Amino acid sequence: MSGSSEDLGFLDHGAIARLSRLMLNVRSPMLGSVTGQHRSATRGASVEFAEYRKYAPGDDIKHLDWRVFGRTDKFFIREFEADTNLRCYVVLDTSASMKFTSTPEGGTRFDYARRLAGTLAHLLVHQGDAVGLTCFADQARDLPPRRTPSHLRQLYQLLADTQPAGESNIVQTLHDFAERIRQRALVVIISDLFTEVAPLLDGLKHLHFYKHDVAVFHLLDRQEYDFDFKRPVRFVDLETGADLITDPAVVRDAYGEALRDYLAALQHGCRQFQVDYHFTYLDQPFEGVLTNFMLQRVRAKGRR
Amino acid sequence: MAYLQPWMLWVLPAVLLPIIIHLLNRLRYKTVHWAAMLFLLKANRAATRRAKIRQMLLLACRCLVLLFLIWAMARPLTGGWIGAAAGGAPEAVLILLDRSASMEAAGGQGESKRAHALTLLGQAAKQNAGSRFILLENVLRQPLDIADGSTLATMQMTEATDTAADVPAMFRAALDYLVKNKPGSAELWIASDLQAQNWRPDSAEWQDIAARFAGLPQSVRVRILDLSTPPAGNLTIAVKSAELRVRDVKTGKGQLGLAIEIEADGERKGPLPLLLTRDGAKSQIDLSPSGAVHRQSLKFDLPRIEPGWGKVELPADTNAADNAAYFAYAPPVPLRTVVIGAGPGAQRVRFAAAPDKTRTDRIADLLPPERAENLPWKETALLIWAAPAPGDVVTKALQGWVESGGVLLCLPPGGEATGGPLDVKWNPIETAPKDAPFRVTSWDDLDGPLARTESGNPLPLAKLDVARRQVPEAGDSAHVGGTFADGRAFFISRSVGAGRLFACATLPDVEWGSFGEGFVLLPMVQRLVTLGGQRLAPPLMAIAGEWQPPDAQETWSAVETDRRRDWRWHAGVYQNGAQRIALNRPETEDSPEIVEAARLPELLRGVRLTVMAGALELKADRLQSEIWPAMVMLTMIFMCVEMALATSKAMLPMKASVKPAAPKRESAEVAA
Repeated sequence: MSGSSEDLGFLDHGAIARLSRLMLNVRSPMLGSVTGQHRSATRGASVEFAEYRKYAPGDDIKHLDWRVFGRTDKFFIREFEADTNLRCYVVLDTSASMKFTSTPEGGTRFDYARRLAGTLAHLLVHQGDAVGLTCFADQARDLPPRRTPSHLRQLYQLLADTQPAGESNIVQTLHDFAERIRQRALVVIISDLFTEVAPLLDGLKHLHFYKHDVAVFHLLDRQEYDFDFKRPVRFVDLETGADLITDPAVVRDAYGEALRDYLAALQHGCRQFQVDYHFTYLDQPFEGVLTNFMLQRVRAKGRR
Repeated sequence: MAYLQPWMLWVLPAVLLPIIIHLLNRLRYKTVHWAAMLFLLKANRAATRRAKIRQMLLLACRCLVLLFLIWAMARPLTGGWIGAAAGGAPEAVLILLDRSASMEAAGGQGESKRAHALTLLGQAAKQNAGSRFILLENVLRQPLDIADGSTLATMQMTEATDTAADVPAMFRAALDYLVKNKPGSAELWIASDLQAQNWRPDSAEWQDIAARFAGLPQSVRVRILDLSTPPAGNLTIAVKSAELRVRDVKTGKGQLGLAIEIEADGERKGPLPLLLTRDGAKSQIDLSPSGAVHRQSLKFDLPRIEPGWGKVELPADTNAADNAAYFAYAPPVPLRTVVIGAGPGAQRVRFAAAPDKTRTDRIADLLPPERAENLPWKETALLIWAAPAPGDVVTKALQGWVESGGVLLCLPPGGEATGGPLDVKWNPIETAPKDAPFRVTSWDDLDGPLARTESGNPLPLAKLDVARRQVPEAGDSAHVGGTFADGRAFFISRSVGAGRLFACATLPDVEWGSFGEGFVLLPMVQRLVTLGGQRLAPPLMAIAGEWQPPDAQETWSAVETDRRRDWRWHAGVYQNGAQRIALNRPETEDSPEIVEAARLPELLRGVRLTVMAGALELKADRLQSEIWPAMVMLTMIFMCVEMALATSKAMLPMKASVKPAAPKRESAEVAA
């Protein structure tokens, strides 16, 4: 790994080494360009038997199962699974709200997101899959998926150079993204998702429609969930700069209710559109979060 | 609404403290950069309704808690139905008990007025069991808390006494108590026989008392238990004087002269047995009193002249307290008079001071002015100065002597001198024409050396022919005891420390007129001698309830031990070592005059007054009462409401059906 080490401080090589023992799988068949380790939507030439189907004129007779013909006097074609590679898009929220943290020594939400994105990219490239990066705030910056280590360095550089700023435009980003990427891919969204639920779910639905495997890391600070302020506070919006002076005692319960309503609706929508949703506190170790993420996918493969 | 602690109302602005604290808290906010504004704005919109109402209710509760607490501490009083609902019996009942001697007269149902009053008061106290009872009796006039109204009759402080009652003073003591202790509602129960001498209805004190009642924040009801039924067939006895005279100097025999007065309130016939006790020995004398007031002098020969005591008693009648009178006697102390002066005038004065040479109780010396420093100061009862002003040494000694209680009579020095002792100034001598001598036309015949005799006859000052006079200058502080026809002073007096100074404008000399003939001079000088002698001999008879031992440390015990006696309120003979004193009930207690019950509202103008003759009827409209317990209740209720509001979720804008989605956190941590 080249590049200046200060820039890439968000990478934890020990964690990467530990996580490398695991493999990141997809839950649905992918359509890759080259042979890889992932299940493809098409039939192919792997050793794994898939199914029999009736012969149709034009089929290559080398795939005929002669034993079956001998027993039944009918033509059947043996089909095998195809293995393909994976294209993964990491969609990283770089809006100003990602700057939030309640414990400055613990790093901001963006630090956490960047660490997740970097680690995922490293793991995927090293298992032979292509990784692209989309950093969005009010506008998106794209890095198309490649599987080369040099591309990984470019990706790190982009991560290191990006600073959270501007307003989040996640809904438009998701729609644009779904329209642009027509090939099936793993889409990992890392964001605080602070937007209205219904448009957000529309975006996720759009991705689901194109059969992308969508995973969401929803990053929330513990303070944002508990709202444990005592004295009156002037809240300044990180994105718009609007401010609100209020007594937390007065709004705490209504806030909690609004937040829980939002989370409930979000989780329900994610289940509906088969989005792999990961609620993550910033004080959770990211290595555990990733391990959990990857292990769940292993189980999903085993179920098949 | 009145308040017992109105200054607490100044604290009322403290009610706003919760609001001020709330506003201050809002001012000292901290700034937080926040990402989840989406929810915060939603929450703020929701909170603007119910949570803000809740916040305001909380603030209001806190303010009300403070308000009612301060209000309760100001101790408000209210009447009407609120007061009736809040308070029951009056908080304090002050029982003003007249236990003077006249209250021992029979007052219905075979018992004394005092005992009857105690029974009625005890009954009334049972009805008002919730009140505090404070006894104020007429002798000590000290408020005394009584635990139980029914114990009234058996208390030492309600026993019979031989004292007089100063009812206005009792009212004042009760008012002092009310002002000092501030009971929320109070009643005064007064049990008295309405004796005019005790109530003094013409005294200006009553206006003051009524004004003080009007000034009380709480309204006070006064209930007077009228026990003024006049006694029938009552006799009273009093000893006017008891004097031991020397009858024979050689044999030492003496004579006790006893002047007694028996008063009957109705016609009475037949002999009256009088029981006389003298030094413990009893004897009976039959008297035949005539008329309503019977005065009699009794004389007893005594073998020796020595101090003694005794009492005279009447048979039992409707008032047991006025049937006995006590006396004590002692050998007369020789009273020495010193006359400073020379000439026939001074000689006559000396003669007037000690007219009977056979009697040893009056001694008079004549000293020329130049030997004045040899005066026997300590034994001198009266000093008569008929000479010019003395030198500094004598003046200083004279000043000290008069200030310590001596009596000094100054007579004109004669001649050209105009200065007398102790700054007495004399005008020049005036001589009247032969046919028109100076006449004394007005003098103080009620009090002082020129007062009427005991039998009521005036001194014949009008018969005085004053041919020559030297008028003393009456300063501002002097009291003019007699004046000539032209208004010039004949006789003046002045207080000097504890003693007194007198000055007379003429000399008992033939050339100066008829003053020397003695018809005025003799009683005047004798009275002055007696006045001066009071300093030398302690009194032997005094009035119970008024007399105080000269030294508070002394213990005076009763000579008679037939029953418990206390010199503070019981008549009797008491002794302290060789000293004796006979205490009798005050004469005023024998007076039958009473205050008409109809006059009482006039005395206590503006006071809620009920006069009852039979029993104490308590069914009357409610007084103002304190409502602080209700305030404290309200305080506690609002505290509870505040607590409930602050802790409960009931008021929060929350939908019970929505269960918060628990974040999947546990599994993540397990995996980590």
